[in-house]
Amino acid sequence: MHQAPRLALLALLGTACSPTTVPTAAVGDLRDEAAERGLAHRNRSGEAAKATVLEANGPGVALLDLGRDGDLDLVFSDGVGGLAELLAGPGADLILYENDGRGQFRRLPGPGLAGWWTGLATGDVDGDGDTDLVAGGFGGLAVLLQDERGTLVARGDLLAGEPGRRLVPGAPREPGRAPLWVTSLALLDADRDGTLDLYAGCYLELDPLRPPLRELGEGALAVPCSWKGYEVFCGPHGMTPQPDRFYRGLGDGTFQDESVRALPGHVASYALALAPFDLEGDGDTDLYVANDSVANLLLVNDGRGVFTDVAYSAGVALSMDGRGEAGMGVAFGDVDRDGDLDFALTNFSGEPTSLYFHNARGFSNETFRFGLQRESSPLLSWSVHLEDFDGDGELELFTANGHVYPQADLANTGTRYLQPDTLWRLRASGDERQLERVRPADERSVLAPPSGSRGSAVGDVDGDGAPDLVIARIDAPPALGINRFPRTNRLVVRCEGPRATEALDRDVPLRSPTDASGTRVELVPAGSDTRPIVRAVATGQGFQSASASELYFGLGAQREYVELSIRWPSGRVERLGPGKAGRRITLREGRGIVKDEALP
Amino acid sequence: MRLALLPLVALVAAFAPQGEELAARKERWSDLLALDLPREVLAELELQVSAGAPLARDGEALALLSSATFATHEPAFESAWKLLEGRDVEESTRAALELERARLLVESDQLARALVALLERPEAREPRFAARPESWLLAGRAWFRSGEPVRGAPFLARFVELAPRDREASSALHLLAQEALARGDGATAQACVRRAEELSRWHALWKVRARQVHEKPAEALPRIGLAQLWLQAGDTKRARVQLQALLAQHARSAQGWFLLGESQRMDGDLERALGSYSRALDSEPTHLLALHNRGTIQRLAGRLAEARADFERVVDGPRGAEGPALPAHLALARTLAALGENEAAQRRYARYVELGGREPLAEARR
Repeated sequence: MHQAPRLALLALLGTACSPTTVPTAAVGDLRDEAAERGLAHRNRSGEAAKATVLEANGPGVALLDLGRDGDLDLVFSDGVGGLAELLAGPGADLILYENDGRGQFRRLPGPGLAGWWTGLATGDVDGDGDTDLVAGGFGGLAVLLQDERGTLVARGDLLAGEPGRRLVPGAPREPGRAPLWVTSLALLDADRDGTLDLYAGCYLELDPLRPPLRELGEGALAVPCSWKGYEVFCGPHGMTPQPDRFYRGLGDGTFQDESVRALPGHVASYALALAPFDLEGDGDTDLYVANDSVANLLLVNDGRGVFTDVAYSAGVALSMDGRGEAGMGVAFGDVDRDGDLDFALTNFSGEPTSLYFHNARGFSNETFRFGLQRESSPLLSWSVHLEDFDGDGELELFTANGHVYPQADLANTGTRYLQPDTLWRLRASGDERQLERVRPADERSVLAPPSGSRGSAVGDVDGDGAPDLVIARIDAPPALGINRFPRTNRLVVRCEGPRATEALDRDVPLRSPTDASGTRVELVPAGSDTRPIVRAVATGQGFQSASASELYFGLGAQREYVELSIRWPSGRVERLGPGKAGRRITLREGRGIVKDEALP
Repeated sequence: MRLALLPLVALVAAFAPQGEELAARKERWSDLLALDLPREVLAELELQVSAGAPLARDGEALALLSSATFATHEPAFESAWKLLEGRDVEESTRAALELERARLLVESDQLARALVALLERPEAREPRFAARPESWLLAGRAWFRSGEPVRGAPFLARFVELAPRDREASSALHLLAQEALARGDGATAQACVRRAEELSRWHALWKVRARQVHEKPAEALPRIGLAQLWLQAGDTKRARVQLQALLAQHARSAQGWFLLGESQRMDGDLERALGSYSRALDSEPTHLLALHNRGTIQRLAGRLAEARADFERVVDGPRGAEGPALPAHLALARTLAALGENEAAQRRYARYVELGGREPLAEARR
């Protein structure tokens, strides 16, 4: 009886509401060549049973140029075998690899840190033109400056003046004091003074001497730590969150804690991931903070480095259903190519990876129209990237997956402990939304094996101009996805701000950071599709990781671009072009292209 | 396998719950899902809805099993959908089954199909099965997820009217707040957010207390906490379920009897409330609130001497100077005035004012 109106309704809604999911077999994708390229270490993150939440979060990874030789080297964070081992010492160091320029890696001695390391951030914190590193951990927040020989030298720990918050492996410790647990980090020039500041996302209070096991609370009111009826480690629910921190960079590699000034009204919220980006297009850097199980933050910068949370009114604090979800990773990019930045947010299993499009009021939640809920809900996803891996000019969505609970492999959980990583092609045109999962080309693809992926970083490690992908995996060796998508026309753009000693032009009121962090580059391709392709320099995205600062533009079949428009953090706008693809160009603020190399 | 199962099904049928007991079971299964214990629902329900079993044609039971399956199986949608396919259910429970199908469609991003299942026509202002609040919720949610908040808002507003304290009401209010913000209506948005937050807090507390009861059903404290939550929500029936379970195990729980009295008082059953307060005082003679409330009922009933005795026990007792005892000072003064003992009334009233009371001695006429 209702057949006719039902069909009419389907026709009406068909294009507006129904996502299209088309499985395809790629001819080549991201082929895991970690072992043959020399990445051989195995991450340590507690015991396999994961008795505490500390053991579940796993490692991050950073891609940065050590030695200014133009290639991307690697740093991995690492933990130890458990809390007892951490307390006894000596703790873990960072794991460093040197790139030979062709993507072959050689292990280097570590910088000599001792701790349980988690988040990594990269940037030129002392303004000397090379990339430095900040490493966060469970009781550690170390600044490492790169010296003239390309060596990372530890310049002290920002928690040094806080004995309770600092955890020194092997040193005596009183119970009842929880170390500061830093998760993800972001280096950004918040106050626009040309030097990088540091935002440290912090997680929760965990006393390493008396971690809660099996239940929280006492006596009749104790609540078991359980998931779907299985006993699991405790947290974050029922444990005390730690407030995030903001450190103002002083320009010489030192920092000053200015959390109170920069984060007025901040509420501690189990931060796991950060993404600095210019939300309103006003030239300063704002910040999205993905929190575990509670509302996320969208911190709008007033231009002087004071942040106000507008997440709720922008529609990005909670899930569409108004629930706090377990935000694990965040990445931004212009998915619909309308010139402003959208973002993706990963979540726990049973919750979708969310995709938000920037609009006039804030953001619209596009998750369901893309069909991402159904695709991603069985997965627990961590790091995330919006990157054009296949070089067609459109962004793909990558998520690094793996459950926190080994109990996920028990009966009737609807998910698994080890999960394959996922890559989707996204298409957004008018009301149409299309999601296409890239199936692994073969068993060597990083997308093939079920794994416990955590942090990940994007960068061209083999110098061919195509972005590759490094994935840090928990209790396992890393993966190195070398880009084997069919070759297309590409342009790689490196941006440099003025040297710290360089005098500014009279018409430029502000100084950009030396590493050009916060620079936005817009490329207008030649050909019929002239929608701009927007990229921004921000290394700290995903989860506990730092990607390369260079920008990757895929031009598909187009061999040329019409224009490159660069908006520097100083406010200066430069326009270049037309130009050819197949190049790696270096732009210096105010000087145009200072280096131009052909891609192989 | 099937042969082996038959006797078990017969056994299950023999002990099949019916009527109120069945309704209570369904509520319990629904609670278990809210407590993230879907495997317990699977374990209890799977046999009962299998062919020939007592709940095989019960759409509500099937919907609950479908929800549990969706939470525990992969692929979630297909597993749950298959369970509902071709099921012929009793007409009185058909709506639950159809709405569970629609829910599965919404949760698997098949929004156009969900809307077809929920609405007669695209422009319909009322969903099928309009008597069931969840039909309004699902239709509203499907429109919002489709990027059509203006079309979804009226459905969600109606859902909140029909089920103001439902687990999903805070979700609906959040979406309504977002829609109001998009329209620039900050006042409505703020009101929705306030209500959503209040409901979220209540449900979060409920979840903790209900889980504590689930883990330690013989303990008194969690049940007292849960009963208090229900009373706070104005749901005396559910509060009494907890209190009766508590008192069956802890017959001398003064707080249990007091709260039972409260639930009866809230329902206007003052004589029963009086009895319950008395039982509380049998166990704990100095229970301040039980004394005060019993005294108040006695006074309302004109039994002034009994009321006076209760109030005196409060104000002359060891905690008489504490804040919670303050209303008893005023009540005692007024009782004495009603008994014509004006001097004593003035003396008691002066003490009331001394302790910070501001109400006049004379009661306002109603």
